[in-house]
Amino acid sequence: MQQAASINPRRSPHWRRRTVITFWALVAPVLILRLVTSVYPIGHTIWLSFTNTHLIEQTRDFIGLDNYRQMPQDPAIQSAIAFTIISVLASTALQLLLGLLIALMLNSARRGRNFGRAINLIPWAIPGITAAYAFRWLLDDQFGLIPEWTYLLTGERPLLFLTAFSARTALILLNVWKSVSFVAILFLAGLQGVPTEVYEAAKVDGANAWQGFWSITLPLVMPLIVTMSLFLMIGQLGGIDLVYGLTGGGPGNATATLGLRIFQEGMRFFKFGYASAISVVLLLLICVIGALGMWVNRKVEVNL
Amino acid sequence: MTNKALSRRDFLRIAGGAASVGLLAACAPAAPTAPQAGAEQSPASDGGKIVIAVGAWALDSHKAVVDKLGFLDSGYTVDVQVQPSGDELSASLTAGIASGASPYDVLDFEDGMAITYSRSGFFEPLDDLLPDDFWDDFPKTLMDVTELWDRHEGKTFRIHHNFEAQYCWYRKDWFDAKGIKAPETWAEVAELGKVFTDEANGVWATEEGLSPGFLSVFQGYLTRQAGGNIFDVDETWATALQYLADLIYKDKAMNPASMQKSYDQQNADYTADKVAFMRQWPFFYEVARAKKEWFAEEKAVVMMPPVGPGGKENSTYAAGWGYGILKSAPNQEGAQKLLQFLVDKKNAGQMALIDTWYLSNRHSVLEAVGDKGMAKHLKEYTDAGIIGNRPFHPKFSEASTKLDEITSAFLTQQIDLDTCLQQGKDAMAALAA
Repeated sequence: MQQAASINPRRSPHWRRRTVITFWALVAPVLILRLVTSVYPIGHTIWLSFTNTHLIEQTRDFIGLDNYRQMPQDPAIQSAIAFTIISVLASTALQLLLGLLIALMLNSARRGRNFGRAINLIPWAIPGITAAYAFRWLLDDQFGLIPEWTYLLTGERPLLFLTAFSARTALILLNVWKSVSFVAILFLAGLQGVPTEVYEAAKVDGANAWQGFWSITLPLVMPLIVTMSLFLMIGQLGGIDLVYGLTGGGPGNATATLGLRIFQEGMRFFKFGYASAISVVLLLLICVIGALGMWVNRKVEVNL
Repeated sequence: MTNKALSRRDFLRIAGGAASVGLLAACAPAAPTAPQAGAEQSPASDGGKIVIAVGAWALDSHKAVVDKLGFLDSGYTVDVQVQPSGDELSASLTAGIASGASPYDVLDFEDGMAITYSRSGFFEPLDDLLPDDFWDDFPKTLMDVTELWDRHEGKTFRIHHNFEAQYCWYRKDWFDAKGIKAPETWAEVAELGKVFTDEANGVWATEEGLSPGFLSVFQGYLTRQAGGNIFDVDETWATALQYLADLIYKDKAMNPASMQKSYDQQNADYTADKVAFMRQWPFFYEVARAKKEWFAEEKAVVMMPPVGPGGKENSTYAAGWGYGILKSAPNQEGAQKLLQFLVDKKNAGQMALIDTWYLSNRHSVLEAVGDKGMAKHLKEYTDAGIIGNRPFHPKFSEASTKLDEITSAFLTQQIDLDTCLQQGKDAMAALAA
């Protein structure tokens, strides 16, 4: 036995014990960090969602599924779920489309690409809440640049926050404006990874620009599109800064999102139990979209 | 061989030791830090720093108060900070108090927060800090407000330093040029659309700040003028909302963009010559005068509020801000001293002379300010008997927000008035359950 161990020390119990200790010593800090910063808060939130925890009323009783039963009867939550899904889907689609267009333009630019890239990133670098408040003034009927330009062109001053449709559109467009530049930079990195030889070969075979884009560029960046759409959707599902600063959820509750509702219920009304239940619904929504995205990603990779 | 390679055992030993030292260091109590260069210090600083959080508009005046009225001589340093707006303030206080480390010692805060925070146990009771004759300085109207908004379970947790009614301002120069007087009734307000509104140039007879968070104030004001209480969601509320909708869409008297405006935007429009008259809180008195190149007395004249179906006595209501001491305030003793100083009978009047923000109908204040500034108008409104109590709800913030959303949906024509009324009733019933 001793001889065998000396021949292959990796099979010895001593070596195994050392390996296990090393493994845990290296992994434990990260594991503890994730447990403290993710698993515990999520677990606690799920627990709170089954209680009527209310900071003002000083209650903290277990109430089972009551918070979840309340949600379908709460028109504000129904509206928030619907608008959250609509705005995330619309924003993501526009961000991907415009981001790809900008990336293609930057990629084809022979000169000033770096300058263009830097300029392009400015909206992304502006904090969301700052951008939202800035646009509130930009859209002001008396002092706003955008209504003024529209007035000069059409003779009408648009009041974008007076109808649900226009307020929602304004919010989605602001979201797109804010994030499209970052999407474009990621696409640009992807496009620069496509070998030029592939395009040259296609050109030799008689492919035009559109065919080159459709048959070469798009399939090659498709995994990037899927991954980015996943990140964009997940990132935007819980977003609150733009809606808080631009519309405050109005008019009525037309632009209220789940993130805003969680903030209101939790931090304005101190209904931690109910806010936690909405958070769990949001978490489930993120999980579903995440799972869907990973499934699509795998399909796309297989097709390639 | 001395140059031995580091074994895994040694690596683990060293790494483990370093981690332990780091952990111990992190858990150890923080050593006292040296004062930073340039930090505000009192001449004889030994009481420590007191942090008071106030609205941005009251920053300079609070600095002037503690400086000019001599609080800094007491040996304390006062750090006057701008508090974040409502929601952010709630978030920071909740987190701070839950962790036992309040970000501020003293807070200047408004009615809605007063209800929420007092019920949440965020504030220290103040009764033991006040002299026996303290409340003798408060007239009945202010005591009524104090009882309703500043006390909970028999304990006082906030002390008003202002008592502000909503006032109406009008462009006397415009009205004189048209040869008409200021409107005295709802019907006369509606007629002004024809007189002043010029849509092409963005000029309106009147305008409001009605964006989310602001709308409940104005609908509360109108519902009171209609003779009711907004939180009763009854026919008076419906009357007020229909009147407001008519002002916007039928009479074209009110700028429809009011629905997206804050008070700052509303004030900016008034001082940009876009509005003939408006309702506003007293802070507009200072805002108007701060626009030196624009201001002239006849451009911002205070008028009596238009009378609605509820009669003259329901024309307006007063709200207020006041001071409280936060639970787990880092400098409790200093906070108590500062609060005693700020609400002191002698200082209250002097503070009102420094800024309108400290104007109330406390006897000592009215005696000190006489007829100066907004005090004259407070006296006019008080003598006319038109200032009532702010509509109260035990879940003020939540109730206001719910009604805000429902009313906003009605005013932007997403729902009709009957649906609005029903949704309002359902929302209030749900809150009462």
